[in-house]
Formats: sequence, structure tokens, C-alpha cells
Amino acid sequence: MTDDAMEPSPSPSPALAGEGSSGTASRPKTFPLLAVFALLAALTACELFVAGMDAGRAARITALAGLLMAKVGLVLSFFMRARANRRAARLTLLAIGVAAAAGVVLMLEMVFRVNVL
Amino acid sequence: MAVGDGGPETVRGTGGVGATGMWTFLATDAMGFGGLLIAYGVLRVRAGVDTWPDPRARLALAPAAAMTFALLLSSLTMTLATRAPTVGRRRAWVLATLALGVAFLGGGAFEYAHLLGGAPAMGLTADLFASTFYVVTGFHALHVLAGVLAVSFMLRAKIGAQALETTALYWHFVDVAWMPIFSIIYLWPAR
Repeated sequence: MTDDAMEPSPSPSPALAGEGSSGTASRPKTFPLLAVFALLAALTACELFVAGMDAGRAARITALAGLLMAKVGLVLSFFMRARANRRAARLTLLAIGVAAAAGVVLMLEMVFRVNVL
Repeated sequence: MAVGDGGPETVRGTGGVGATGMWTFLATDAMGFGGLLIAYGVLRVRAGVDTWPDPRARLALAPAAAMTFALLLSSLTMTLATRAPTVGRRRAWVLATLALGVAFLGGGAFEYAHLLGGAPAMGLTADLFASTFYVVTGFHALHVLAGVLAVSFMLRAKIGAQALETTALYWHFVDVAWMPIFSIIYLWPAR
């Protein structure tokens, strides 16, 4: 057990410093998080709506992919604070990007093979 | 500023060996999820539009949406825990995160029981869709379980800001990993 573990964390900002005594002081830091959560919930509702739409398959998948990327971006930016840890975040995003690119290439190759056969 | 001294830089998550190590681990773990989703995509494309079952015909969307909501909410509570100014508040938010994680796992168990006990039952070897569904969602559930255990440990031990920040990164990653699973497996139409 470290000493750090035994002590309360220091306030990250003056806005949070008064949170224990005044609830209004924390609003500037908490409100954006609540807004991001509301946006994530709304995007999830949009996903459900799009999935049930009477539209073309390709259009629905494209819309769902866009909504998915928006949600992932929001969590990475605001909850994981990737902007504050750029180098490590870039490493993770690079890994995700490589995996996604490999997937697209593999699926295209599979589609091509199916068409040829 | 030394790592783990609890200074503002540590709390903000802008540095530290723990955070960098966790980001590196998450990069490798993302490749694991990516590999599974690629396998799912390749099998789905290979099966063709006519033979791959429509996910909405087999899977119940409402419980999955509720599980998604629980995971999103748990990310919020975990972030609030990392920003809480006192140990008491931090513990309360961590406890809420733990409850939501357990709720997600409970929802998953309920879904599995429903699928396995339904008529017709969707067993692990029923078809390619069933196999990939159980493998991908099971792999994710194991990650949530690991997160729940880690958060439980954080509750038992005295919660440090640095350790909580690192655990929060993992928890958010579990949330991020669920998003493509929910979208691709549950929502993408087969035809």
C-alpha cells in the first residue's frame, strides 16, 4: 500500500477544490461529462432507429458505421482523455486502424474470391 | 513530478508509467478484439447475404441496448470517480461503476440463458453465426469480468488516484470495445 493510496487525491483544478463544500463549484467540470454521456445515449438511440429503418442495407451499414465512429471518438476524447496522452493514444489508435484496415482488405479479398468462383 | 505522488498531473492522466503501460496493453488488446471482429466479418461476407441469418431475428435488441446503456453509464461514473475530490465520493462512484459492470454481466448471462434455452436453441455449435457471436461476446464478457474484479480490488484496498486512473483507462476501453460488437453483430442488417 502506498502513501498515495492512503490519502485523498488532491483537487485537479480550483473548480473541483470546493466540491466538498459547495456543489455548484464542480459544475464546470461535471457538466461536459454529463453532456457527453447524453450524446452517447442519443447516438445509441440513433443506432437503434437506423437499424430498424426501412432503407437499403448499404445505407444503413454506412450510417451505423458513422455513428459507431462518433461514439468511439467521444469516449476516447472525453472519458479516456486521449488528447492529454497523445503518444500512447496514437499507439492505440494505430493498432485499431491497422486491425480495421486488415479487416477491410481481407473482406474485399473474400468478396472478390466469391465473385470469381 | 514523480509518478504516483498524487500531484495534479497524475490526476489529470497526462503521464505516468502506469497510464503509458495501460495504453500499450490496450493497443495489444485492441488487436485481439480487431482479430475477432475481422474473423466475424470475413465469415459473414463469405457466407453471403442469403445464408447468414439476420441478427435481429435471433437476438433481442432491448436487453442488448440496456446493457449498452449500463456500460456507457459506468464509463461516466468511472470518470466521475477519477475526478472526485474526496475518498468518500471516489468510493461511491467506484461502487456505482462496479454495480453497473455486474449489471452488464447479469444481462449477458440472461441473454445467453435465453438463447440457449429458446426454441430453437442457439448453441455454440449451431452455426457460424452462433459460434462467432458466443466467442466475440464471451471474450468481451471476460474483459468486463476482469474489470469488475479490478474495480472490486480498488474498493477493498484504499483507492489511490494513480491506480484508479489506470483502472479507469481499462474500463473505458471495455466500453469502447463493446461499441463495435453491439453495432456490427447486433445491428448491421444481413439483408
